[in-house]
Amino acid sequence: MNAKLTLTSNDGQKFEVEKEVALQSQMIKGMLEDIQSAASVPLANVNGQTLAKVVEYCKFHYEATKKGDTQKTKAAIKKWDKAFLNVEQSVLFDLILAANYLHVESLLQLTCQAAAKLICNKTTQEIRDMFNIENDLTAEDEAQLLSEIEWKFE
Amino acid sequence: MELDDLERPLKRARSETVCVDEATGQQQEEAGVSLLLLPDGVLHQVLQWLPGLDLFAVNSVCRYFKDLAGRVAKEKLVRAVGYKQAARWRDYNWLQRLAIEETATMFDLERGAAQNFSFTETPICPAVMPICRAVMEIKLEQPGPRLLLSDVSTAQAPVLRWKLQLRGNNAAEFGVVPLDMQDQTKALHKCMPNAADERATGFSSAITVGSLLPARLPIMKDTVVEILVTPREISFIVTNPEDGAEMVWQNNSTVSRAYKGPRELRLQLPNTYQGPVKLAVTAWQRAAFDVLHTLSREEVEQLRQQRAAAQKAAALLAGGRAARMALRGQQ
Repeated sequence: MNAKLTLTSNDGQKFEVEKEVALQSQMIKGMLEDIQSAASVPLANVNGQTLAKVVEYCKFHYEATKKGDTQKTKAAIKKWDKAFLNVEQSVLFDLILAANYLHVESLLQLTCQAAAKLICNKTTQEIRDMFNIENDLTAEDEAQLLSEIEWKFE
Repeated sequence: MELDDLERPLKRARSETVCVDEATGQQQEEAGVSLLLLPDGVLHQVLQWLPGLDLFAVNSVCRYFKDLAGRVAKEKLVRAVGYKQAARWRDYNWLQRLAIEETATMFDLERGAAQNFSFTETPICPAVMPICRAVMEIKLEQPGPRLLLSDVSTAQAPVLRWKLQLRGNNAAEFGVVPLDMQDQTKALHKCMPNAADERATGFSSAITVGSLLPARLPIMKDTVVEILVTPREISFIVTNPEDGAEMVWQNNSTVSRAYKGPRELRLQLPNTYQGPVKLAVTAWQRAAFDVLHTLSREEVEQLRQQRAAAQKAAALLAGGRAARMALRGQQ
């Protein structure tokens, strides 16, 4: 039977996972290399809701990897990933931050790609509005950007 | 200016899931969570997934992104084609260079077919053309001159780019023709003006007879010609092979001689056209072009290796045939 590990979020929620599942996080891997007997890992920068999603992701990908690298598996993973990322923008950003903190590279790539999709085909003003960004460009910057504007397919 | 000097009021120093107060939370819910809450490294990774034209939009969002978008564009481009190729279009910034590289203008297949050009398409479409298959080879078996055009003009896309490798007949012309001249087969060859007195322009190969284009450049088998039209200029980069042999006229016939000129030739003309233009090539019988601008660096390398292997096999075959003939002669 595989060894278990308890991950604790910053709001005290506990998640018991197989060690192999948790080792997808390079950060946890590093911690366990330092303290080999550790059975519980406190994760101060991730809340329970986000950690639940990360654990869900790691469990699915661990199981999928065990099944082998076939075309069918790849297609199933892609489909699952798509459904997994069907979340609100704030949840997506929390997942990005958690993946970055926990060093789960595949999840970070996936979530960054999803964030990029939110930006795709948007105008500058739409990006500002969507992501709550203030325009702090100077008149000089604006003038320089104007000269490049003819390049856009708008 | 250093990136860290820029004011980023919403930026967080560490990766952590946020605990916002109720009012801020509500405000963010309405306007969306700020992208600037993500750490620098993560934002960098997000932008890496964006194509050049989306990076243009991001570039104008705020000062922080103005700096970051340019850096990301440079990294993406250098990773894709190598530094030398990435920097080949001079006087453009990295965002513009990335947009140029991602521009893969297709061909007017309908007009091309009417002109008897034959097109070989890729079996699997490359990433740049997710819907239709891309053309990888163009051939002409009929007597010329025949005109091949781009599918779109500058009215539909501000940047047009072709990258073609010459494999067949060395007589060829490359340039642009005004849109309203696209049905005149000799528009490029004879540098014909339209009603607004805007002329087709470009260059011809040194061996082309009767061309009225303003420039003649030595081009030969395996020469790569890249044509670029931007709102600013019309540019050509001609890259000749290292061991190229050019065809020259001698006593009313063409002879081959080793090419000793510069490997790379450039031609730049200001884009003064008021009306839209299309990319154009005039070709003659037995013309053949490999289309490189729709392929990735790996695919171009693969194509090069295939061609080299085919040449080697042909040389071996010819050698074997010659040896057999010699043996028969001895017998």
